[in-house]
Amino acid sequence: MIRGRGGEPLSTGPGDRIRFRRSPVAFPATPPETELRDGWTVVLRYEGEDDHPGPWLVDLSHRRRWDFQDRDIGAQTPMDLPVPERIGAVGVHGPLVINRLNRTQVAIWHLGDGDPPSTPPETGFTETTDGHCMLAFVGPGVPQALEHLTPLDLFDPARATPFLTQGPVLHVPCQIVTFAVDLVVMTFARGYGETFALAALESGAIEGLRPGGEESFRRAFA
Amino acid sequence: MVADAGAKTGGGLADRGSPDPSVGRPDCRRPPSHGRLPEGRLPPGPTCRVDLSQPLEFSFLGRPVTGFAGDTVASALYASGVRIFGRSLKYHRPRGLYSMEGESSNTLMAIDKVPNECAETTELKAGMSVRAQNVRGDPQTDRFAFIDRFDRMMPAGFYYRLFHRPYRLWPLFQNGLRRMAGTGVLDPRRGLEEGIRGEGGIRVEGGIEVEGARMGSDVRAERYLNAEVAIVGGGAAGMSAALAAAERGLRVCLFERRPWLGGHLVWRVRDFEGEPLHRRAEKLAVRLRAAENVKVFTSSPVTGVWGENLVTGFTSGAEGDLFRECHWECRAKTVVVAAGCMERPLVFNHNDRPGVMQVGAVWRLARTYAVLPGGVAIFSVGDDLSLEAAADLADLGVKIRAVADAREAVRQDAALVTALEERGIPVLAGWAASRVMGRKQVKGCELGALKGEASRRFGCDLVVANAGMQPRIGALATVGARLAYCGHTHTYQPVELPGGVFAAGSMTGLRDPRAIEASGRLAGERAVESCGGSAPGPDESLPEPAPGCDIRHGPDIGRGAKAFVDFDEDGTYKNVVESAAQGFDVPELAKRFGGFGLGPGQYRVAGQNLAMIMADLRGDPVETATPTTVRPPLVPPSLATLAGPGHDVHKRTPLHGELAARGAIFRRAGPWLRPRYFSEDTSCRKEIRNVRRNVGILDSSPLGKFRIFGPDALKALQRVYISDMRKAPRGHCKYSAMCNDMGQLVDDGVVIREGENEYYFTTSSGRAGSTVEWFRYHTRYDRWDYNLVNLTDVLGSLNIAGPNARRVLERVTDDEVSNEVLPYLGCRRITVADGVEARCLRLGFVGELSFELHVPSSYCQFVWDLVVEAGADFGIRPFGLEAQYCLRAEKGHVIIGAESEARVTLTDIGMGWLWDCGDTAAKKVGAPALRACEKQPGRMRLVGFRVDEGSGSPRDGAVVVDGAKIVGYVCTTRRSEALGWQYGMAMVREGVAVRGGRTHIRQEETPGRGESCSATVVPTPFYDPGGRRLRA
Repeated sequence: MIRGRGGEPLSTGPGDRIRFRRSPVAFPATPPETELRDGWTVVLRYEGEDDHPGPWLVDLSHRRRWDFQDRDIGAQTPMDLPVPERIGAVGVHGPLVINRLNRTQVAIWHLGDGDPPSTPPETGFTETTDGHCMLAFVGPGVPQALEHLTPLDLFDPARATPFLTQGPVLHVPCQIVTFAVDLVVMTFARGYGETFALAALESGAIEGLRPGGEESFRRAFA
Repeated sequence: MVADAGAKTGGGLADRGSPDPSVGRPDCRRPPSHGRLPEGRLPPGPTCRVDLSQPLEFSFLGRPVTGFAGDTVASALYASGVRIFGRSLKYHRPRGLYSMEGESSNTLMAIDKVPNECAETTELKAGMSVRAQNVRGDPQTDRFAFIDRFDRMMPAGFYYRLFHRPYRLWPLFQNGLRRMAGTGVLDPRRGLEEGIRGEGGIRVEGGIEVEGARMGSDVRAERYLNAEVAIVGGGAAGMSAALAAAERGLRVCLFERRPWLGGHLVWRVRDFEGEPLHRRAEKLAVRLRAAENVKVFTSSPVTGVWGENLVTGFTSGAEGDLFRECHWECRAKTVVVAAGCMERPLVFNHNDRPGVMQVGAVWRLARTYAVLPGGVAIFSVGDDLSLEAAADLADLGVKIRAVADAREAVRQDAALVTALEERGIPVLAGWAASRVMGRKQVKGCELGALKGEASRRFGCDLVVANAGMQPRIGALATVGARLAYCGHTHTYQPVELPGGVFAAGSMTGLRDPRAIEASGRLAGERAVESCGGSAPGPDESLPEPAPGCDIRHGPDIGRGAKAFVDFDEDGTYKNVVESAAQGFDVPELAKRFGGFGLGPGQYRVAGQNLAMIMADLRGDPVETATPTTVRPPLVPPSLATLAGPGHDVHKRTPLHGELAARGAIFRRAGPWLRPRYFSEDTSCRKEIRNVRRNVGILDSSPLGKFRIFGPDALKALQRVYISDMRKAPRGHCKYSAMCNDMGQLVDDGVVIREGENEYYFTTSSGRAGSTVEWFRYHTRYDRWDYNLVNLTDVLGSLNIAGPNARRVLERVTDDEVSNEVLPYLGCRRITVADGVEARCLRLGFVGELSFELHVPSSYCQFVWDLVVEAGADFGIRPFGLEAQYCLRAEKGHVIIGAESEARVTLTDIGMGWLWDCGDTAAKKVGAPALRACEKQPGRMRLVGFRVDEGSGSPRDGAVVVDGAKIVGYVCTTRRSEALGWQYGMAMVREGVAVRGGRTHIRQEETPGRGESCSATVVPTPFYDPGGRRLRA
C-alpha cells in the first residue's frame, strides 16, 4: 500500500510485511531460541541458561494486560473473575491473575499458557499491554537480588502469597506480585523499561541475576 | 563480605561460613611454604586468621613489602617493621598503630590512590600500593616535623584568633593553612584512568554480555533489608540475641563490623567452663549460620540507627566480591544493640608515640595476625581483660616488665593477678603511665603512683595502655537513647531507650562471658515480645556489671602539652585546660573550640575523656558532665558508596534506538530522554527549513494521553478545564487549558469526545505524571462517578508536519485524510498498514499542516519505518525539540514554563479566550482568580516583539528596560529564516505592551558588561498570521 509519487505500489508494501511489535526491553544477551507471537519476538531461552542456577530476569512485556475500573468493583466479575476483596490481594485463576489495586480498580494479567482472551466490550476495560513493561524475577536468589533494587518488603512472612505490593523499585512506581520466594512479577511504565532492566541486571549481578527466557518463567508459574 | 545464612534457600552471595568451628578462617596453622617463620611473625595459634603459606606482595612508599592472606594492611606493615604510619594533622608528630580498630586517624593511608583508607581495618590484597598521608617526604623524616616544637604558638582555637589581623593578610594565611592541612590527596585522574565504575567495556559470559563497567573493583552497591530484628554487633551477646529471635521464627539481620563473628572472644584462649573462649564463640557462630532466617553480615559496620528503627551501614567487599562497598539499609521492627566495648585511651605525656598501643591492638596483633607486637612491654591499664592479655602475651614470648593498674587492688581479679605474678610480672595497683620516652618510637616508660609521688622508669619498646573500657554507644546515641554516667562502671550507660530498641552484652558493663550471652538472649526475647510474639520470661539472673576505672589521666601530667586527648586534631590536655579557661568549659563547646572529636575518630577517642577531664576542671562531679553528641556516620563510608551505583533510570520513547541511530542528541525532559537536536547545529536550521518547506517527523510520544469515562466524566472535565467542554464535538479536538487555583496556566492540550460519557484527552508531557491526581484532587468532595486511565505509555505519538504531510500519510493508510474529511482540529481513527489502529489528530502546533498519529507503543517502530519510507521521496527527516520550539514560537504558541510563570495568569499571556467565564456552576479551577485579575491594572503581559535590524541579538532571559528600570524580560527569542528577522516573546509591564511601542532589551553576560538593542512590539503570530498553512 505504500505508493510512489505516481501512485504506483512500492516494492515492499506493508501488506507483505510482518507488523512487528517491539518490547521496551532488550537484554544485552544472545537468545538462541525465539518465537514470533502476535508480532512480538519472544525469547524462550538465552544462551547459557541451563548452566546457571538463577536468578533470572524475564521480559514478559508481550503478555496481555488489562485495567478494569468501576465504582462498585466488588460487585463486578471482569472476565468472569472474582474481584479480590482486599486491596493488595491477588487471585490466580488458571492463566489469569487479578490484582486489586484500590477501591475502584483491578489489573488483570494473562500469565499462563494458551491464547489470551480478547478485550471485553464493557466500558471499564482498557487494554494496557503496551503501556507497561512486565518483568519476572525467577529462580533461587530472587529475594537477595530484589534487595538490591527496592526497600519494599516483598517477602513479608506475615502476608500469604500471592500478594500485591505497590511502590518503588529502582525509584520507579511498580505493581509487584509476589507469587513465591522464587517468583516475583512486576509491571511499571513502559518508558522506563530499557533503563530499568539494565539497572536491575547491573545491581542484581552481585547475586547472579541474568537475563532469562520465557521458558524459565513458565516453569516457575506452572 | 556478606554471608547470608539463608544459603539453603539459595542465598545470593556465597556464604563463606561453614559448619567447621574455625568459621571464616583459613587454615592458619599451616606452616609457611619455606618452613621458616617470617621475620616479625609468631607461630600461628588456634585463633590466628593469617595464612602464612600464602604471601601477598604489595608496596609501601614504592618499596616492596610482603604480607600474608588474612592480614590487614596495618598488620602486614607492622610485621615488616614499619612503625610510623603517618604524621599527625597539626604538629606532624609521628603516629603508628593504636587500636587496630580504626578508632583514630593515626593509620589513615592512601591505598591504591584512595586517600583516608583505614589501614587497621583494610584487608590486604596483592598488588596494593600504600602511601603515608600528611607527610612531606618520608614519614620517618617528615620535613614539617619541626612544627611539633611550636605548640605554644598553637593554643586551643588558635585559628579563630590568630592570622586575622590585619585582615588583609588573612587570605595569605588561609591559603598557607589550606595547603598544609588535610590528610590526603584525591587524584582526580584516577576516575578517568581506571573508569570510576571499573574497567569498562563488555565481556561475554556464557553467551551473556556483561557490562564490565559494572563489574569492576570500584562498583558501589546498595541493598535494602527487611527484618523483624536487626542486631548491631556479632559478639556473643549479638549472636545469642539473634538465635533467640530466630528460634521464634523471626527474620533477623545481624551486622558485625569485623570480618568474623565472636567479638572479643575470638582472640581469647583462656579456658572458661572447660573450653577456650574462642571455641565458645565459634560454636555460637556455627549455630547462627545454621539458622535459616538469619542473615549475617560481616565486615559491615553500622553507620547509624535512625527513626522507625532503620539501621544503616555498609559492607566492604572481600576478595571475589563483585563490589567494593555496599551501602545497606535495614528496616527492622526491633533493634538489639550489642556493639560491645572499646578501650578508653589513657591520657599521659607522649601517649601518641609509635609503640604506645591499646591492649586490644597488641593482643590481636599477636593472636589474630601472628605478629610479634614488641620485645619488651609495659602495661598501664584499668580492667581485668587487660590483665588477661598481659598474661597471654607473656606466654607468647613478649617480655612484660610491669603491669600498672589504675584500679585499687581490691577491684582486680585476684586470679589474674596471681597468674601474672606466677609469670614474674609485677602488678602495680594504683599506678599508671606518666610519660613515654623516645621520639620516633617508644624507648622507655615512666610509671607513677596515682596517689603519692613514687615513680619508676622502664626501658621498653612497647607501652600497652588504656584507662579501662567504655561502651560503644554510637548506635544507641544515634537512635535517641538517653545516656547517663554510671558511678559503678564509670561509663556512660543507656538509661532510657526508644521503643523497640534493646541493649545487651558487654556494653552494659557485663564482663562474665555467661552473663554476656544471657543478656543477649534476654534482649532477643524482648525483641520477640516487641514484635508481638511470646517469649519465655527471664530464667536466669544476670550478675552485676563489673566495676570500672575512673582514672582521668596519668600521674604527673604537668601542663599536658603533649598528653593527647584527641589524636585526630592533636588536641591535648593543655588545650582542654585552655578551652576551659576561655569559657568553653563544657564538652560541646570545647569540641568546637579545640577540635576534640571533630576528626574521623569522633567520640571514640576523645568523648568520655573530654567529659571527665572537663568536669574535673570545672570542679563538678563527673555525673554532671555530658559527653559530646555522637553523630553519624559512626564509621565513615566513602562518598562514592553513599552516592550509590548511580543508575540513571529514565524513560525512553519507543523510538529511542531509532532516533539515536539517526544521530539524535538527547536531553532530559522530566523523566524522559528526548531528542533535542539532530545535528551539531543548535539553531536547527535544516530541521526547521524541512518542516516549513517539505515534511518532518517528530517523536512526540511523551505527550500525556488519557482516557476518561463514566457518567460524571464531563463534570470532571468541566471542573478541571477552563473552557466549556460541553462544546467538544465528536470527531474534533477541543483545545483547552488547565489552570491552578491562582489562575496560572498549568497545562494545555486537546479533548476529544469519543462516545457517550467517554473522552480522550492529551496533556503536556511534563504534566502527564500528575494529571490523574489533579483530577482526583479537584473533584474530591463531589463523589462523582468517573474513571481515568493514563495512556501516556500505552500510545506512542508521531507528528508528521509540513506541506507534504498529507501526501506522506496518504501513502500509509487507505483511510481518507483529506481536508474535507479530516480538517484542522479534526480527529478520526485510521488504520495504518492494513492493521495498526491509530488515532489521527489534525493539529498545528508548529504552524504547518500536521497530523499526529497515536499508535500502540509496541507498533511505534513499525509505523515509523513505514512513514519514513513513504516520505523518503519527499526528503522526510526527523526534527527535535529545539526545532519544534522555534517553529511554534514563530507561530506565537505558548509553552508552559517558557512563556508563563508564577506571577501571570491565563489572561496575562493572551489566552483568556479559552476561559468560559460565564460558567460558574462548574466551579472551574482558577476561575475566581481569573475573575479577580481580569481587569487588575499593572499586570504583566505577554507580547511579541521584533528586534530592530542591526541593533543587536538578545537571547532568552535578557531584560526589557525602560531607562534604568527593568520592565520585563525576554521569554523566547530566535532568528527566523522564514521571517528573515529576529522575533521573540517577552513578559512586560502593562505600559510597555503597546502594539508598535519601542522597547529596549539589555543582555548582560557579566555584571556591568552588556549590550543593548531595541525592538518593536508586534502582534503574534509572527508566521502565517492567517493560519492558512495549518488549515491547508
